[in-house]
Amino acid sequence: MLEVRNLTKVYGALTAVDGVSFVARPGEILGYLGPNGSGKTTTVGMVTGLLKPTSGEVLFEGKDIQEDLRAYKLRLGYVPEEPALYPYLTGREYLELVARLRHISEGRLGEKIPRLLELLSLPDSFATIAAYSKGMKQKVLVAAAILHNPDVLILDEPFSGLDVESAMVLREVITDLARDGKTILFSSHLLEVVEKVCARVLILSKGRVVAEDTVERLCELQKQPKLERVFSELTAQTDPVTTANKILTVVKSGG
Amino acid sequence: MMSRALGARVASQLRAEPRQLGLLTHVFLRRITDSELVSQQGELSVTFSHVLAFIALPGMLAPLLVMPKYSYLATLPDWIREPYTWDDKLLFVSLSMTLIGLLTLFHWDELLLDGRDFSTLAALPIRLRTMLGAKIVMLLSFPAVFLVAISNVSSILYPVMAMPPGSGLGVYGLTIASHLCAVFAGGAFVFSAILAVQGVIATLCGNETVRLVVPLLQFALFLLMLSFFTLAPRMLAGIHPGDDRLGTAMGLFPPLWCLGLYETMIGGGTAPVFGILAGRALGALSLSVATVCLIYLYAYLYKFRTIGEARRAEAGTRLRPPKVAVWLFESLLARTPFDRAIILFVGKTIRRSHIHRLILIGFISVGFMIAFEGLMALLAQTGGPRDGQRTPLLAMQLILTFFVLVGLRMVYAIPAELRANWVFQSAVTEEPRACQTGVRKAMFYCGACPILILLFPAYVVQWGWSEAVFHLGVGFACSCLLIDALLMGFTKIPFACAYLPGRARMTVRWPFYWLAFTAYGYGMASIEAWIMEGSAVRFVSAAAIMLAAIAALRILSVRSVRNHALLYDEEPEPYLCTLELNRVE
Ligand SMILES: Nc1ncnc2c1ncn2[C@@H]1O[C@H](COP(=O)(O)OP(=O)(O)OP(=O)(O)O)[C@@H](O)[C@H]1O
Ligand SMILES: [Mg+2]
Repeated sequence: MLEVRNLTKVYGALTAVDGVSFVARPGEILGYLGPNGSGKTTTVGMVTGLLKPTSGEVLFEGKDIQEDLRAYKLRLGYVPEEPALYPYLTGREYLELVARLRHISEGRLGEKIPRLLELLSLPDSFATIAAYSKGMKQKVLVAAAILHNPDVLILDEPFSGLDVESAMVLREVITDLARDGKTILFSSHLLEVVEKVCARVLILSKGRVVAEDTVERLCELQKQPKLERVFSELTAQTDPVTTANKILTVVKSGG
Repeated sequence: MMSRALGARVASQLRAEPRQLGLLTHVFLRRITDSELVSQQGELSVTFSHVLAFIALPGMLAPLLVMPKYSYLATLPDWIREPYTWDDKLLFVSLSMTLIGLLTLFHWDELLLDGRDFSTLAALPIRLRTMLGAKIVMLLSFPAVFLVAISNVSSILYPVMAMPPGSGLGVYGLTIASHLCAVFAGGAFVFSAILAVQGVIATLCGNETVRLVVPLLQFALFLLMLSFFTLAPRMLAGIHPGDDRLGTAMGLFPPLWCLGLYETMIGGGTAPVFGILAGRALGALSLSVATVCLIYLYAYLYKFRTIGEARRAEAGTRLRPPKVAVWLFESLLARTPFDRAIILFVGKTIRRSHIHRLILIGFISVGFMIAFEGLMALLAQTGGPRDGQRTPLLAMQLILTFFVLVGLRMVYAIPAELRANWVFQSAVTEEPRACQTGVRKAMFYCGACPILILLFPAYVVQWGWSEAVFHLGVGFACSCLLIDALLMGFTKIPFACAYLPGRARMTVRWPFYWLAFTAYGYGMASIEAWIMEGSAVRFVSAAAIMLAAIAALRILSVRSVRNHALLYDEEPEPYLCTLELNRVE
């Protein structure tokens, strides 16, 4: 079980994450939603232990992760928002690097990695990651995150750049992992996917949690048929049509 | 109607193009100043001006250093005085050639006509012609900026000393002009020659060949640049006043060509060979410039989109390592997955990351040059290494491993793709102690081993098996010592920690490094020679001392990282250390 208590991160004058608390249980996917700049990635950074919180704590199986960061990292899989990879390695070499860092033996990684590359339709060639497309890089990230069969999976917009088929595959993978009893935190902008796979969702706005419940309960409470409408209502977003019109006016003005 | 619209378009194009050209040139130049090393810190202008200052410094100091000589020379007649100025003129020329050469090597990638330019700029309404034009303007201004930095002080100060005493403004002007011409010609020649070589290779060879050849070529060019300095006195010794025939070696030494230009321009007719040399300078310069022009023209017409593109996108060779090597590596040399990860990561980074490879090559070339000079001195002295004079030969492997290992330690601290280090941050669970083991092994296998193994056959040929094996053993033991000393307090993953330029404090520490180098290179070699001449007792006791030293240093180096966490972000040291009197507990 992954528990976050009163997590806060302050950057200078800006409070990026403000007293966020939630619980993600094994076997369930917790959706983490919010508009751009609401603090999702910042939270994820603190939950993975890469970012030090200003205050608050993250507990894994009842223990503060900072107490034994090593044990926690061994069981953690993480897909970061940005596909920052070593461009001069090939996809295979990158996965091998990660596998070795994760203490996987040569025999097992020699079996696993070519299979994973094939299943994700990534090239097992001499092409370095520098030559990969965005979606290919994303697939490498996903493969690197699940390679060691982690117990906690933290996904920050894992679908960005994936094509339709790969996205469907990933969706299945995530659901199956949850069924296997993994704890999954899933931050995304794709509300249709969130609606389908997440048991519960948490909506963030300006660093604060504005709602946390199952999708059905949220729709019921807000008297809205779709999560999308609930989302825009809770995060107080403006009407998209009006904003779009204003943008076009700006673009067309003058020469 | 049609034609008027067309005319308007052409007119607007013509107006737009110079502006685009200016902007693009700026972009290309920025890419050079904004090197991989610097951009991650965002302290771009600071570091670029550091480079400029570093470049300008020798040019400023040199005239001051040579000044005392000229007060004495001023009393001599012209025809005696003149030859005594040659070495200083050659120094200025060599300086500019070497510095420009090193800079060009460091910006190797940015100077190519590059697929990257095309892909990032293709979306904008910019013509190929404009892009090419901007690239050319950049190529011209790149050496110009640095040449001005190198020669601004010396070209004004030095001619005052070098010209005949009591001569007027006209002679002063001529001397300045000759100085500038020689220095600029030297720099321009080196720059265009490197560009030409690189262009020829990129155009003619396949990608795999390029990947194989380029590091070797860079090594050769580094050596060449350094030899402009180290060989200069010997080459100059072959030229005498009144000479009208040119020795072969002298005729092949580019800095002398430029000295010829210098002397011919100021009309110093003391040695007729300078005319020949000046001719060579001009010929070589025109040849290399013409080659560059041809290659760029060819690239513009046929290959613009592809030069240099596929090289970045591919890596590795089609060769698979033999099974024995794999087994040896996995079950003997690097038994934990973490060690394997680090060793392979280090190996691939120095093989494929341009800046890391180049810095390391630089270190190796300096070591090579020093070892070579030692060898030359030995040969000149005795006509061949005699038995009692082994030290310089023995020192060779120590000198080379010293430079490789120190170089590796330096490049470890330079990040490669810093943003990608999250993978280490989130996946490494080792204690710094265990990390150090991997890092140490990487240094040993990627740095010391290749050098020792490459030199081994030469020692076998020279001294036979048993002594060569002993010598190899000494090489391994000394490398272990040095690695532990270098990794004292190192709590990072190589290439994965932010770099702070001031951190290495080379300016403060270089005397220490120099001392360490002499002790390690020559000290150890003399001890080794002493052991080789002695009895078994001497050998056994020396081996015991060595093992004890290795063990002691290992314990110290492990203890130095014991209570630390792995570092991914270096904290700057405060510029001012306060006594913290105002702190309230
Ligand atoms: N290193 C930093 N320094 C200063 N401010 C930061 C830093 N990182 C994030 N912020 C700020 O924190 C806020 C939250 O950023 P965060 O990246 O967590 O948003 P997000 O919800 O992930 O947005 P998106 O949907 O666009 O990914 C933003 O206002 C951002 O500007
Ligand atoms: Mg984000």
